[in-house]
Amino acid sequence: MRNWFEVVMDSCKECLELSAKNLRIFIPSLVYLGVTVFLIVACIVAVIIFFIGSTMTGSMLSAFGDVASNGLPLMLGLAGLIVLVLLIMYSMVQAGVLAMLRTYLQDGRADYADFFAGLKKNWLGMFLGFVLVFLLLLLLAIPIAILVPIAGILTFGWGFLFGVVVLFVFFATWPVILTVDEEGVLSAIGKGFKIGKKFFWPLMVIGLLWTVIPSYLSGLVIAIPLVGLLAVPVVGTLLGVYFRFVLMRFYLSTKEEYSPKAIQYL
Amino acid sequence: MNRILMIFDYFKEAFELNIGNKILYKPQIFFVIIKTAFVLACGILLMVLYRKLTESGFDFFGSNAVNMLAALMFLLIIIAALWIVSKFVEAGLYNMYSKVVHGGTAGMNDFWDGVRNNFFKFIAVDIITMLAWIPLGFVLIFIGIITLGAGFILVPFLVSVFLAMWKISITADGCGVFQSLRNSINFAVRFFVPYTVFLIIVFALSSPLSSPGFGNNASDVGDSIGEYMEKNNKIEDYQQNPIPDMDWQFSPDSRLNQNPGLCFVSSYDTIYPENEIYTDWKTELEGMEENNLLPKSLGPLHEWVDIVLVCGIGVATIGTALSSLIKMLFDVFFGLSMFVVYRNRFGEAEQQSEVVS
Repeated sequence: MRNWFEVVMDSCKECLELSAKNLRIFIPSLVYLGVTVFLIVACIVAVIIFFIGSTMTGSMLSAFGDVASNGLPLMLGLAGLIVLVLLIMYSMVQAGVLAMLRTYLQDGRADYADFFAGLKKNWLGMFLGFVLVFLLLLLLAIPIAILVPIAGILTFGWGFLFGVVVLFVFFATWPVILTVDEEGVLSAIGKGFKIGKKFFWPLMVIGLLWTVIPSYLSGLVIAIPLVGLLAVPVVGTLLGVYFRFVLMRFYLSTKEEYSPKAIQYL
Repeated sequence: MNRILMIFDYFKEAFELNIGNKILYKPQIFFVIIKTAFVLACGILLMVLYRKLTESGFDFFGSNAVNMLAALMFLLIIIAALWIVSKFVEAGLYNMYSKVVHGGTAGMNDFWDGVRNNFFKFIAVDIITMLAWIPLGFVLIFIGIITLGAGFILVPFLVSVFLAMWKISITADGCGVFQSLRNSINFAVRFFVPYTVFLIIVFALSSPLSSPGFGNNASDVGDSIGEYMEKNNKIEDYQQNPIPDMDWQFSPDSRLNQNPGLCFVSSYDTIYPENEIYTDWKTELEGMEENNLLPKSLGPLHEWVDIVLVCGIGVATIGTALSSLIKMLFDVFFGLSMFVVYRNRFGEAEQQSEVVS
């Protein structure tokens, strides 16, 4: 008979073992990271070249320079477009990776075919889900902005950390539910909230590990000269995939058909 | 890989022991109460002292340098006292952890046994570590420079890794200070990879609000006063906020009896005499004084200061109590985990016992 902490630790252990056996599960997220870094660097370089060009060559690019310097809406529109493209890409990668992880956990194989099948099937749901959760968080922004700083001040900083983790508890499970249970977006978000309420402490532990370990490791690897800055997002991405895996494994543990005993003790 | 996977089993065992031995929280709660009482007492003492001095017009501290030195001495005495109490609690608590992990049940007798046997050893460990950082500091700077900054974070982290089992070895093996140092280093060398992974989890969760490298000691229970003072650093306040706020109450000045507003000016003058905003503000205050617009005795401004002071002391006290209680949960859990890891030695202890049997 396992208690909730044992279920979380077993999930961590099993997922670490499985991840080490099949590194393929990390590849799509790393590719996404590479593309994102490339896009951001390309945008920054393009803007720098654009401004230098417009000031150096005068007549040829001055029209564009005027638009760039005076047209704030245009700049904001471009930034919004980039964010939208990145969010769509992120949704696609998440949909694919989660489908791959589900197949790996349930059937013991992780192929790119599963990644693309999941991507096709769930990317739109995932995208809509992210937008909905963002809007929901915007609605909750005022109470969060009041409660979290008060808790943070009264606990010398711990409240800030726990505030973030509590949000994780309620809003992190829905992509897993969307993939595993093949439910609709609203239903998945609602179920994710219920799961967060029911399994608050185990999800709190997973959330704490997910929040704190990547940031601590980032603090260590950032010190490495030359590669440190690149290593930080790589560490974050690898651990992100790993903890998504843990979350999925934990969710499957809570489902009666996967582990009938677990649900009684959680 | 198998050894890294064992970490999760050790956490599970530590959790079970944690749940089954609530008495482990008793000394910690006692220490939290002491720490909170210290903060409250210091706050009240400072407030009363300030009030008495200003009301009597007694220029006790004289210049700001002396004032700061006195405040620093006061702070050092408080930190030293808390540090000694924390080592006292730590010595007893580690003995209780050891009893629990080695199959027994812990009681308050074990706590006092631990204090008797290990208190001075723990003090010695901390003093040796502190003294060792004086020569090591130069080495650290040298390594930090030649590694383009990496050494400044990685070297203290590695030192923490090699010294993390020092006190655990003192308690579990019952050996002396230097033998346990050797044990700790040997343990780290023998199981470097899984042990480092384990410690990364421990350090990340026991001090999530501090950066890697320094300040990783999971048992540094006496640091909340330091953290609080760091967060409320008076010099930083002066640098960031050109308009002086509440800091004037720590600079009692005989002129305060005549004019509280100008007391700000007199204490601030020595720190930023040429600050533009300050100069404007000072001129404005002096103009107000000439026109009799400022209170001539301790009046509403003083009451306002008292309210803010009381609120500050309240927040500091509540913050100390809550943050210490939260940290206590992690300290007990990871303290037990460290003993479990040291006992099992990543599976080696089981293998040895199988060979013997």
